[in-house]
Amino acid sequence: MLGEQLQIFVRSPGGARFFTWEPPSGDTPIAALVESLRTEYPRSQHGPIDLIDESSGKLIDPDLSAQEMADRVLGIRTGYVSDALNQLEALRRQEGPAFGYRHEPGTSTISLDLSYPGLDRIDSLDGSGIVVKGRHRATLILPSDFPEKPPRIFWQSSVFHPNLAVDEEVWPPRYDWADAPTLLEFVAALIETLTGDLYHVGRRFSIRRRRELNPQAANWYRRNRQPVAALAACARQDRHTPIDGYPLDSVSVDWELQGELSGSDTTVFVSRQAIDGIPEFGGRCAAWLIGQTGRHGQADWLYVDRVTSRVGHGLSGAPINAIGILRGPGESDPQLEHDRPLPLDARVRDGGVVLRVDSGDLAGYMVEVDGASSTEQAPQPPQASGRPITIKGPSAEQAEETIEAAEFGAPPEGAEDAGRLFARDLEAPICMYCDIVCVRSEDWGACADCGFVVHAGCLHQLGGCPNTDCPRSVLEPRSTANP
Amino acid sequence: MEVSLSRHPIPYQLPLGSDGYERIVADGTIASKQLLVFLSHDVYDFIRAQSREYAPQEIGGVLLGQYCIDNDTKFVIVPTAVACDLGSATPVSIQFPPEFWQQVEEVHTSEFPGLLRIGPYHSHPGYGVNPSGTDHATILGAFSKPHHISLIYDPHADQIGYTCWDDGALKPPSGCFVYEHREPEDLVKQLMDARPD
Repeated sequence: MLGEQLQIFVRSPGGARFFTWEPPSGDTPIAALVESLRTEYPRSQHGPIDLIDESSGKLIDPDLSAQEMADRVLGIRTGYVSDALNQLEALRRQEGPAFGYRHEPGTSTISLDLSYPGLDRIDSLDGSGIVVKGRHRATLILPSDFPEKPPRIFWQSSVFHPNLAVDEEVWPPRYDWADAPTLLEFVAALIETLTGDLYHVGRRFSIRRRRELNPQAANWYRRNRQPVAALAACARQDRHTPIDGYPLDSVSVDWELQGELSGSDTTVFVSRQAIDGIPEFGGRCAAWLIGQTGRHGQADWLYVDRVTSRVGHGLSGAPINAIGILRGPGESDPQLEHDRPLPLDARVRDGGVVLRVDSGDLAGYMVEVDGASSTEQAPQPPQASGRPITIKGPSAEQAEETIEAAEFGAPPEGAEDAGRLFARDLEAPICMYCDIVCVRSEDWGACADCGFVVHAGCLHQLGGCPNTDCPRSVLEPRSTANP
Repeated sequence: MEVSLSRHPIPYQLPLGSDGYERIVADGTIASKQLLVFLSHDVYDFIRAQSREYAPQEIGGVLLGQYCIDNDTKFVIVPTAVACDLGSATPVSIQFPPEFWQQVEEVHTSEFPGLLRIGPYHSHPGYGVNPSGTDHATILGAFSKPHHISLIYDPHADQIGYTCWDDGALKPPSGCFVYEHREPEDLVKQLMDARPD
């Protein structure tokens, strides 16, 4: 053996290529091998590289010496970040602008933007108040042995919640990664935690009580279970995008028939995003089918608008607008906690979508052809390019725009469309719900009941006022005790 | 556009979700928010066979059917057609002579009273399902009521499409449904009886 060159064998992802690595010495760490593989697998394209011992299937610690791995065959794994990103992208396609994410190439850190209603506490001269906020942020960190090991999640925005706190590592209550090792379900559980569908508060007087991240919030949630449930219901309802009547009459999109219909069958219409989402979700996890049911003359019809993860296989119950279930891999007879029958049952078989209504598989269903859906979308909050800003008086650009408008755009005095004059504060107000400045007069729809500054679109989207002390609050009724 | 009462849609159950239809398929993409077309598979097969047999010459004829409405959804069911075997045809045109219209009148009144002339069909061997300039000037001018369609089949592309009117504007071609009914003769009788005038 003396003088024999030390070798380690490396197999590419998928096994198409084979490498040998000859380290300068037996003490050279495996990290050097990882570094040399960078020429073949650039960080910008492939992200982090993991090496797996093919004989044991275990992840190799990069600090191990080459000597310890001599003559072993190691498999290269590069796809775990891209796999995670694929799941987040699938989620984004279903959730629309409410969910966003950003990934820094070459890292395993992903920022999440969650535009869902969640509670926050604001302190002012008048005291403390609980408000509903519509924008939240979190950071997801994937471990190198993801998905065998769960991701870590750090909450990044101010929040009033028993199990969430800014700058703290958090975890959705009752969520077991071993049971549901997918980001599709994990992030959905995180959203449900934020909106109040899932939360954990121990009993108030218990020796063995697990301490919540925010005990004050836990007390408040304990006293206000019903209002919190109202917020959760509001969040679910808000994400519903109903269509207006019979799909062949109500949407200006084209449809194609997959398979064939029998006259006696319920006609099922599937949106483009749902037909794309069913294989993406169904290959990984169980899900709800969100949509609408209807009756046209004597015939029933169903419209599947989108797919959403069935967190914990239905722990939090069916969304109010669920019309069916999508079975997860190997799921045979789901036991669900919902009190109404869901007519549609979908599964992925051999890469194709199989739909069942009542007891029989459908031979065909209508699928939206055009991506440009004209379904009625709930109004979205104004989009911000960055963090909310406070403007002290008109900026130079605004002043310039005003002059330009006066010179070139403004009609002569007395003209019918001369515009209206609005008295404005020098400090542009920030919407209490979405944290975005109210720039245009029509954006500024202060709540008529309490005067809270909130975009009219946000009021509509939330279905009430974000101020929980307001009579129009989506949380009513609630305990009046201070937090 | 003023339409006589006799050309108003009659209440009738949409074939989708109706027990009597054994099988419904679609040829092409179905446009929503416009008149839907349900073509008998006999008519569909006949048009395709006739087009292929006579290609590269154009073929044509007239569709007979019923104009219906079910919960605001307007549609036509076309159980039969009269082929034009008179007149002349070239690879880019077909003429429907007066004798053909006389023949249509005879077949219509004697065999299918109660049905409507839903519109013409013709083939476009190799040039798609969009109406040509000539189609606009002739056929579409004569068949411009809300229940009228113009069906075109391209045997080269094996593609079918129909155009219809919507508030005076011609809609782009759409695909159509093709049905097989369990009792086709009963269906024709029902459709004829549905419009006794």
